[in-house]
Amino acid sequence: MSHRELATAGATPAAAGTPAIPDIETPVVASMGLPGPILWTLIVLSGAAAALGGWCWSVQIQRGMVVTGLQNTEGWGVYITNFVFWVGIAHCGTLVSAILFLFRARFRTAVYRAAEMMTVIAVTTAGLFPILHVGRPWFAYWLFPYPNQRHLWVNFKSPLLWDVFAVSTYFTVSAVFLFVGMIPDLAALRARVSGWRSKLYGLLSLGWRNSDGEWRSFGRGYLFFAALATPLVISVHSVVSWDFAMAILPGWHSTLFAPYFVAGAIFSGVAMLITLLIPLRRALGLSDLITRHHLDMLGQLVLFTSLIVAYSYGTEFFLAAFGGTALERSTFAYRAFGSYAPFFWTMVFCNCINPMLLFFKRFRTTTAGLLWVCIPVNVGMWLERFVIIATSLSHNQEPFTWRIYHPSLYEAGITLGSFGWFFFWYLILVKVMPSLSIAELKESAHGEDEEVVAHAA
Amino acid sequence: MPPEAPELARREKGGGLLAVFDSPHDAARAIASLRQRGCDDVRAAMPAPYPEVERALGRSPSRIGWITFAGGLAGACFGYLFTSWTSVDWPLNIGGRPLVSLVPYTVIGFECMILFGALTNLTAVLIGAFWSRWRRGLPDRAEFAGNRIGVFVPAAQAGDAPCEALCREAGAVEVSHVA
Repeated sequence: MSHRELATAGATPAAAGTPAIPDIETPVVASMGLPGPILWTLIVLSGAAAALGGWCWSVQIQRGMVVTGLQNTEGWGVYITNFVFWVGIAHCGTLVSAILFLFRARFRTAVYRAAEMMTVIAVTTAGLFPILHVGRPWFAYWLFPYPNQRHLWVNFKSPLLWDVFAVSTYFTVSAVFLFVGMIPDLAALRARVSGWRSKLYGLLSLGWRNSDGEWRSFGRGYLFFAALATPLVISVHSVVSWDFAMAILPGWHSTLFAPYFVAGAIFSGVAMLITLLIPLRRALGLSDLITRHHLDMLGQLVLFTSLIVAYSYGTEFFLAAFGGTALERSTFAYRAFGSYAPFFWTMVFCNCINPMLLFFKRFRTTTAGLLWVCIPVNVGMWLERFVIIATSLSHNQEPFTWRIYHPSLYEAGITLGSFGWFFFWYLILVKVMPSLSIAELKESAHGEDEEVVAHAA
Repeated sequence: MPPEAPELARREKGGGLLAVFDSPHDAARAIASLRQRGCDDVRAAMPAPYPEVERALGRSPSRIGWITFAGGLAGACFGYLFTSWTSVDWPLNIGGRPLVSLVPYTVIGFECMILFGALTNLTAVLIGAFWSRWRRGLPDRAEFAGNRIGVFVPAAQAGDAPCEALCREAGAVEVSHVA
């Protein structure tokens, strides 16, 4: 059902030939009702997983980093894997909301709010890992430059500092982008809800009254937000990739890393969005607004980025094989046939082979087909980061330091906790805030009308 | 030259003509007719930014872009200057690289440019919205956030009967005089 068709149910009838404005508020308000038993169960389970992660962290704080599997030469493990993974997931929101906005891709309208929410929660989740990883989280503020008695400043030549600036800027801009986009919708809903929700929406909508002057400022401002967020989204994962690429470690020291990481981030982010949207659109009763067409378009994005990622994997091996560096060849041979080979080949299957099913429309337009591809992509992209980190550190330039990294149960608990944390806050957010852009859906439905009228003429 | 704010506030006190429409097409038609008749200060409230209504209103482009540009430029300058100053304030030899290394500082300069630009943009959007809200005379009705469009002509410009007739002709579902 198109936005136009949906409109006919709830809109006030208009004169013949002059289309009415659709009623998007009713399904959105309905989607924010009390969660059903399945959703409650998911919220409780994800909350419990987050609590387990919190407990594991408390043990790590109490006993020190010795509870992890990290040691000399294997100083990075699943924490950094998780950090890169969650930053990657966060890329989808800005891609869908900003880049596709600039390209005028209309299908984004129904899904971008859900993607933006995912972005903000995913960046928050990612931001936990550097704090976890430093071992003494109460000194995490040392990462930021601040005036102090010792006149010390942070080292701005380090990619780790670039990360601090890139990720904190990304969090701020994506949160602001999400908030600004929601202002007109919160204003539209404040009269449709009651109690604390009405007060909250009234407060957050900042007295918005839909006047043409407000829309004028909003439209222009939103365009510039999108224009600023687009290079930002590309820069953030490039900066994350430079954490690796600036090191002179075989398997990491490559100029390919920035575009390869950006494509991988979009790939994993869109796959996660599809994984979330398929059950949510049913649970929230939004199947008429988030249609198979939208999922099909997102599926095409997954396919496109999968091809880029597969090409990057191939290029990495090609450069290692023909680059004339024995160390590089050795590291990549170890990656494919060494101790971590099962992870590597699972990654290749999940990220390069399985997504090829999306060439078939049947897979892109059925929820089972999409989940068959996208859930493994989430696994594969986590494994990709793990393989990059673990294989290069385990097989560096000094053979006497080679060792296999085994994550401890505490690291596994914290990893599980991060997924719990992410899903818990996401499920809460989609129930508290409108997960669809009401104003843009109305505008989009009107655009469809214009096309129909022009076609008829 | 646009009227001064106190003058606008004075006019608003006199109320005006409010026409309510079901469709953006009709509202745009009414606005175009009203402006042709000489009503320059027509205002509208609508649930979404409908392009034809905005075109009919004929507002000049917002200056938010320039403000955002200035914010971004200030951010980039801050990023480069701050990193350079801290490097000189606490000189630390890192692998023999120059004390002030502009290439790595470009990352910080870029991130600060985006951050400052975005925050300046946010401030400009909010100020612009508050300003336009203060100067408008549109009644605050929930239906303008729902499925209707309101077109308002201040009393000083509304020629009563002709304006009313124009709005009805364009398809207004309700035309009233508001205080």
